[in-house]
Amino acid sequence: MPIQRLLLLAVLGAMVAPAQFLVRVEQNGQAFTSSNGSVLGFNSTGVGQTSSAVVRVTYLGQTRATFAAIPQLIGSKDFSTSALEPVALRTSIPLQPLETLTFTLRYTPTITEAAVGQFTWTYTEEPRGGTTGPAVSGALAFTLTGTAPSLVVSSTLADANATPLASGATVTLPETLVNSNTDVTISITNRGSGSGQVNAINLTGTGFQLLAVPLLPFTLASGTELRFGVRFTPRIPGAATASLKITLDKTEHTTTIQGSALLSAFTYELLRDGVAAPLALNGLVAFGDVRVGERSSLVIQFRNVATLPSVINNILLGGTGFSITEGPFVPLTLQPQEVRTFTLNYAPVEPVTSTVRLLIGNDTFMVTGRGMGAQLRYSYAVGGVDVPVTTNSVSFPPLSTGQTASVAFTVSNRGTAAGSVVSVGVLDTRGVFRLRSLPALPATVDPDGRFTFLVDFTPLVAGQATTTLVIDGIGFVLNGFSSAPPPLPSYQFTGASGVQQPFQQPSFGLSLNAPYPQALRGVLTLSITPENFVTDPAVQFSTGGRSVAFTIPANSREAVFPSGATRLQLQTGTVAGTIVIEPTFLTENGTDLTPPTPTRLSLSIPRTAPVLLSARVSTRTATGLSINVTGYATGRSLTSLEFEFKGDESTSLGTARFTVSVSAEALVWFQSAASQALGSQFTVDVPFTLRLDGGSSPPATDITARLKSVTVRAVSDLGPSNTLQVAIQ
Amino acid sequence: MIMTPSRLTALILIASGLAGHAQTATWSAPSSGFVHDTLTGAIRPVLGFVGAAYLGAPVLEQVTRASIAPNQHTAIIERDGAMRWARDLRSPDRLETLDRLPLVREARWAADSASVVLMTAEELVWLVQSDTAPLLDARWNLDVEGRWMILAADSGAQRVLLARDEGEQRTLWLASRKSPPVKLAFLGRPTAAVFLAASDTALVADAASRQIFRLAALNTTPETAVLFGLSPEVGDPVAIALSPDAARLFVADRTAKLIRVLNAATGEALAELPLEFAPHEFTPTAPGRFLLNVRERAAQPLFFLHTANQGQISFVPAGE
Repeated sequence: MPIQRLLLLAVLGAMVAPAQFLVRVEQNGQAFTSSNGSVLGFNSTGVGQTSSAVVRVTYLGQTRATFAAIPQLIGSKDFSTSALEPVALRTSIPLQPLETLTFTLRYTPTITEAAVGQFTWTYTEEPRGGTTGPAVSGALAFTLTGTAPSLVVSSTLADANATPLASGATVTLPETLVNSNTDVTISITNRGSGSGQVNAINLTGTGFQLLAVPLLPFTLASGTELRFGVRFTPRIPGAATASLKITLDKTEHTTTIQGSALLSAFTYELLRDGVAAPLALNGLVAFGDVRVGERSSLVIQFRNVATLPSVINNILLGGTGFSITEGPFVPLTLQPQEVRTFTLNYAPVEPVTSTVRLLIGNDTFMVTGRGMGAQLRYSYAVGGVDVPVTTNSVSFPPLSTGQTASVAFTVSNRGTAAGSVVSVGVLDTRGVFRLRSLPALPATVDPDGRFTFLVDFTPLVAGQATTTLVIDGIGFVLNGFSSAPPPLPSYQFTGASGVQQPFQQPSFGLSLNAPYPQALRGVLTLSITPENFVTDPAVQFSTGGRSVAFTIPANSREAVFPSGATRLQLQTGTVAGTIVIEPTFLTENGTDLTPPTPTRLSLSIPRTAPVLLSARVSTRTATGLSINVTGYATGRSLTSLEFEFKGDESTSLGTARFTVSVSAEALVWFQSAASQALGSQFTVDVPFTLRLDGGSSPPATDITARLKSVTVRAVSDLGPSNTLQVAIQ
Repeated sequence: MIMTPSRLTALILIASGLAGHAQTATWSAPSSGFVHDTLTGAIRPVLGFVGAAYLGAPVLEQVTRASIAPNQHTAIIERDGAMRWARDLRSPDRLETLDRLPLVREARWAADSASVVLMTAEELVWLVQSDTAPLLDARWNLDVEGRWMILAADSGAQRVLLARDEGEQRTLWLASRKSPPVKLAFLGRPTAAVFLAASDTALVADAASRQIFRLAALNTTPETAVLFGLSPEVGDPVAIALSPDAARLFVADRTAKLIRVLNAATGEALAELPLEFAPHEFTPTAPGRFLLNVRERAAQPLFFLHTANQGQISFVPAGE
């Protein structure tokens, strides 16, 4: 029935229903009051799903309203009512005042388009009591409208059309790189006449997540669409499956989503000398050892193994010495199975091991290489402190002249191959800077090896001294400052001094009056001023000669002589004169500290009377004997020798004196070259011929057998000597 | 030697029946003989008297070993691997080669330099001077086991006291020209000895018991008795010598680097003569004078011990 006509009937019905009824409707769990002739709407959840309403009509009149046995239901056949059931047994239905008539109206759509129906139930009402007249007729009428939703689920991939998804269908995602995303859009479209309900959306599956899901439950009006996303983000390569369950009203819609993950869209190979080898992702490209200054190259080949074109946005390489040549321009799109290459180069500039990262798109590789070469480094140590040589300058600690400072200079190899040092030298020719403990050159220095030599700085004069240390053409400035050494303290000679006796071996020492901070060396020089122009060669130090070296250790006072003793002996000889000993003082490096007028040791040997050392009978006969006399006379003169023979007590010889004048003979002797080699020492052998008093003795007489002893004495202008007695028997 | 014109002397008689005159006096350069300078391998003269002497230029060089007689000019030397006799070092070119004499390790001279007793590796040999070459006077074989050394010889070099090391033990022996070495009954470690002049008695220093023993009757049946003990300060007696009057005993103490002067009869300490070096023997060079050392460096002099009076040590510089 056309809708217009139904509406007209509704109006007419409203015009002819004077009876009073209270109409209450219970629908979808709610109760509300309606009115006769109103419109009752029915929204089914779907085709075949019944939507019902319970109508309760209460007669509010005062007489009686009698409804016909059955109502009229016209319009869409999707409407039905309980009032028409069971039809055969129904009779009219009277309603007394406040009695209620209850019946159900139902809508069960068979299509999703909108439906319209009309429900009319006529009645008659008796006139009010006390009146006569005909019964009043009327009709209870409702216009019925019915709607139903139609929810359709579909999926849309990027750059793809929407694909309807029946429950249980499977959506297959394109290959996805690990740690990257593939999204699919799920749409729920309501194509029906009524609103539908999306009650729940659930997704299970590792690597999958829902995106932009609205608050649920969600009422989807007719002709509207609900969209949300499903994102696939694999963490590991391989297949992955998710289950998407959508609850539409009371219906569950299930979709399986399948994804597959790739580590990379590319596979790689390393070409070395024309031989290809697989290169795994995050793998190592090793150049090995390459000499500094040389270059080694490898070829990287990559292939798109995805089923879709893949893009490489960048090929990046960091680190000194590494470079890429003959590479493609980026971004680069490779079709499935397409292959491209580029060349990877390593040209080390220093002998170190380098490791850098190669990035091809999202794929990473480590690239290593070791530059082979020597890297010599220089340092020096002074006072236990190591100082790297950074400005090619070596500084010595300040010191005073005469001292020596040393630094240990080290050449070390921090490279990866052995290096060599051919020459090491200093430009200084004065010996201020000297090298010590050099290894045999050329010297090979292995990696992590080193050698050390010493550089001595011994300033000669105060001030700054510089020179250049040259190691294989590399110059290092050696720089040192020195101050003048402190002045020598006063000193004194100890032991023998002043007047000394001849023929003696006195000792003496040399002592500073205060310790000196540096080690000193020096020489004592002996000089002689004889009184009679003859210098006695025997005047010497015990060490031999007339000069002797000594040392004075630093911070000490006593001079130390070659024997290690602090006392030294000398011979005074046998000639009168003055012996003078004068020192010189030097620092170890030769700085002269000798005072302008040094204190000297002066020993005087006086002119004395002769001294006899020995006398003996050198030869003897019956009538004669020789007396050998030795001695010395510092004045180098003798006047006479006196001999006193004493006879044996058993004889009557008594004592006989002989005085032998020897002035001239002694003069000749002391002027001779032989004598001058011996000072004033002499040996004189005086023969005597003896006889008994009264003339010649009988030949058989042994005169000397009668002598007991002889006493000898020498006399010079300075007086007599000691006497010596010699036994004759 | 300087010859001067003869001069008659005035004769003074003092109640005497003796008369005479002096004849030509002979002046000569004093000399203290010769020494073997082991540092230079040369025999050098000692010019002047010790006390104001010095070593002169070498008279013989390339001398490996030498022993110089008390007359200060005769010597027996080892040179060029052979033993040679120098009758007079004042004429050093006149050397006699002793072909049949093995190399000599030690020598002891008679006081008159007329004979010398020598020890070789295997023998004890006596040589006597003659107008020509020295003559072999006696020889005794020495047992090759152990090490032999001469401790002392008497003044005539007739008898010698020997020590023999056999492992840890040292024994004392007596030998003479007329008798082979005979072991003496001596417990201890004899390290030095000296014969008393004109007697058959010797003194022996025992380093083990630190005592001086007197060995008497060496010509007949030797008798050993303790003379006196050495004080605890005596470290290592390596040589002993007597003063000319036999009143003082000089003991070389190697450990203490000095010479101790003792009363020869009682052992009473009389003096100490310090040294700069450790002594190890007394080498007689003249009556009453002993060489104490060999030069080990150029600046070192030779040191001599004078045993007259209280004893004295003198040096002789090696010269420039």
